[in-house]
Amino acid sequence: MLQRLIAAVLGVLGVAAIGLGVASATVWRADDPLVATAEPGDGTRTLVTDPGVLELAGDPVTVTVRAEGSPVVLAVGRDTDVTAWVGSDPYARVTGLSDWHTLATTAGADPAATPAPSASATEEGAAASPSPSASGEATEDAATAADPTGNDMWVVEVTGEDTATLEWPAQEGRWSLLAVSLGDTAPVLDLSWPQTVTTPWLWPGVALGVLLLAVAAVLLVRIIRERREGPDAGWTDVSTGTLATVPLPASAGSPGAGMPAGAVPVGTVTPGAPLTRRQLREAEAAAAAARRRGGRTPTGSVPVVTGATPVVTGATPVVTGATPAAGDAAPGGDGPQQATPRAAGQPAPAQPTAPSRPGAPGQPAAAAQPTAPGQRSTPTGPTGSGEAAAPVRPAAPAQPAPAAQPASAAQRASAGQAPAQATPSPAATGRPGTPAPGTATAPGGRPSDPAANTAAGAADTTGAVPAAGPDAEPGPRSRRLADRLPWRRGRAADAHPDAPAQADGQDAPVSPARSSWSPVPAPGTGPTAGSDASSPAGGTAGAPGTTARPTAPAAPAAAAPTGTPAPGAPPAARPGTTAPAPGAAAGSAPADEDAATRAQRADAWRRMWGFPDAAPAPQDDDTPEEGR
Amino acid sequence: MTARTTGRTRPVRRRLAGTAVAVVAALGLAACANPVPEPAPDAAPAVPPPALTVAQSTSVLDQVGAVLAAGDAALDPAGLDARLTGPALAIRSAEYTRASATGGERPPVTLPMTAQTTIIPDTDTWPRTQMVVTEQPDDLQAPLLLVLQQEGPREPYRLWSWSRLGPSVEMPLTATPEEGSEPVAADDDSLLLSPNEAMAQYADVLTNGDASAAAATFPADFFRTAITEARNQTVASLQAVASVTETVAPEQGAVTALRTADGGAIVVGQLTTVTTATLSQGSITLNDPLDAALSGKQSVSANLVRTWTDVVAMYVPPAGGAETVTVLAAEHARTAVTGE
Repeated sequence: MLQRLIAAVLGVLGVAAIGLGVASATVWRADDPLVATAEPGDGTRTLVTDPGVLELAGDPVTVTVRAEGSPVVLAVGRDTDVTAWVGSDPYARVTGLSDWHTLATTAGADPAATPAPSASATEEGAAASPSPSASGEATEDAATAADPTGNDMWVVEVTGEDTATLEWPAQEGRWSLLAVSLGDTAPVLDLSWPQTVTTPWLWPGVALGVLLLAVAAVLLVRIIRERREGPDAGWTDVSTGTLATVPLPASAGSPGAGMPAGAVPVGTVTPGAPLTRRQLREAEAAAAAARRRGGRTPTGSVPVVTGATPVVTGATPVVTGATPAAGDAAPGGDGPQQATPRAAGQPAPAQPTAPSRPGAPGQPAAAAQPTAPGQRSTPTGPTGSGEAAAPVRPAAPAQPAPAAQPASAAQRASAGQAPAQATPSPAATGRPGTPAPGTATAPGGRPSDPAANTAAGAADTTGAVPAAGPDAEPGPRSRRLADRLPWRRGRAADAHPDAPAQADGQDAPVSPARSSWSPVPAPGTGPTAGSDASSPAGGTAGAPGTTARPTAPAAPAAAAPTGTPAPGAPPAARPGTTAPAPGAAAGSAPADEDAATRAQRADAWRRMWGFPDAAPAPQDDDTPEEGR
Repeated sequence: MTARTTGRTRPVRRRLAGTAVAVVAALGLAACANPVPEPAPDAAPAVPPPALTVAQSTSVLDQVGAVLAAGDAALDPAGLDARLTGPALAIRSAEYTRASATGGERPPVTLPMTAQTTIIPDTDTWPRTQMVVTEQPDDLQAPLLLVLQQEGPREPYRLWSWSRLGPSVEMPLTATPEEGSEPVAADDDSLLLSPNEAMAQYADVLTNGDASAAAATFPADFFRTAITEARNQTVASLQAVASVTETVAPEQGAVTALRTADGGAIVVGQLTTVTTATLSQGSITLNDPLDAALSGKQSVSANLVRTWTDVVAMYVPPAGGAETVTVLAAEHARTAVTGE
């Protein structure tokens, strides 16, 4: 509205400016020859202009005197001479312009005139020269007007009947015009000056007007376009976590389908733990994205949206669940405990187990195991990627730090189990090939095994991570690895620690990673997931870990993610298909991230190419995974 | 309460704002309209400009010449007063008379009206006097010094006098006509002698010759010499029958002066010379046609009074300058003769 008003005002101003400019050059343009007229009353026969009046408005002034039926005389002389000549006769003085077309006149009675007649009179007397004519003239003058004709003082003199005209070019000095009507009619005096009429306002006015109009036009066009295309026709921010949303729903879907109960509990658990900023951001972004999508009418995306939206909501809880888990893991440092709760997730009991964190890392794990494995493995498998994604992220932030402590705990706790498992993992790590089978078993076989392995790994990882942080033995190696494979750093660090811890092979970690990863489809996720993966391992691990083992939960996750990256391909294929909970879950975590980034890119890409909707894309992603 | 007051003040403010806008708009529009130009004449000069331009002066001379030509053609002074006055008119009239009396044998003096030097007065009062040194006439007479006078603003410039420059006389430097020369009052005391004094003393010198008290100031000059010779001739010719006395007197008020470049002045004045012959016996036949024409008699037996109109132009140096006055030009013409 305001814009419209501004546009209108600008337009009006522009038109007005142009109008004024043009008017200044046309209607208001000064006359080319400026003509001013003096019409003294009936009584006057003699007109005298003040010095300067002749040069008032232009160079050669054209003087015209008119007097119907009377002889007229025009003469120009020095002002003193003219006034002296007029003397005491009645006359009218032209003093200037009263307006552009009228000369100002006043009745003149110049004191300077008085001496002249007296002087002449005395002179005549003194000179005793015969001047009969002078006296005669004087008497005549009284009756009509004196005739200035022939006076030696005049520089220019013109006489005429009825009218007379003379042209006076400006000269140095003070000059006066004498106009006399010798008859019975009063003289009318016209002064006409040529004028170089300038129109200084024309072009500035027009230019300003055009400018204003242009601005108004631009505003108008904008308004119209906006009305036609809607307010947000322009650019929408691509950076929004649209993708993130997508995975969320997927995950949500999975939990809902797989173990809705479990998801909820996780959610419930959450309340205690505050969301991290990132989580909040993502949640918001997701909601916003959902809304936005919903807002778009055109494409058939709407249905999708609706579908998505619920998913999203479902997702959100999951996320929260994940987060809390992560949070817990982080704060408590009890990877296992929290893991357990989640894994145990659904049941309240699981939580109770959580409390046990300090004392018994192992126990919780155990608790986790029962519930988690069964459920998790199953659910994760299908939804896997989706879910994982959600948890993964949240986990990422929180995990590392906490991991350190829990790690120890986990290690101890799992120590009994872990070692046994641990060994396998190293073995697995020992070679790419070997690990594959190991992993294979994990996915295919059961959570327990893989869990064990992974768990061990996870435990290690967790432990490793922290270790790396504080003083950890693995630290250096992991770093090396990380250095070598920067994109994997996080995972590498995590993964290796395990391997090194026991197996110590550099490659070893890789292989397990692969194995665990195999299921995961997204190699791209690697980098992003990396850091998260390790951490999520803690968090997510909880879920998978549960299946695997108390401590394991964290471990497997970690292991899994690390492994996940590209290399996983071959082995992944197999496990992927079967991809039971652990692997899937683990893989899913990074997958999610991958999916998220991918989805973002995809979304951006779609927008760029004008494809209808981003929403379907993520779903697609999900579906294939699910299909697998 | 506050609400009410604000409610009241608002319209007031609005009105104020409205008037302010209106005033500004009006001023803006007024600014757009060009103001009517005001006369801006040159400042009145401290010294009045020359009363005439050279062109005007030439025009005046032409008109005087025309009048003279008309008079000369008819030998009739009737029309001369349009452009002649003072001694010029008187002398010219006498010349016409003489010309008529002699049947054209003695024509009037040739008066060339072409200016060699023009001396224009700086003045805005009257009377105004301008002087003109003419070219040498065709008859190889001496150049003339003309004096033209305007008695009042409605009067024309009239030829007041002419006088032939003396032999080997050099005119003092004067200002150009564009600058104009300052008129010098008859009683001006910035000169060695005021114009009036100068005329009076010169008249005395003419009358008394070297016996005059002012003889030192007026060394012998061509005019004095000529006058003296003429007087002596007359005395000699009438010695048998009459005693001759001659007096020269300045004409009161008939003197005019213009400043020269060195601060002196060219003073032109009219003198009247009266030559009186008192017969002791017999009678005198007036052989001179002019005498006869002027007196209207062929002879006189008691006395004969010839009145000469003289015009003398002299250079009077500034006070503190030279100690002598130089006579530049003079005219000596019989304008009246009476006798018994």
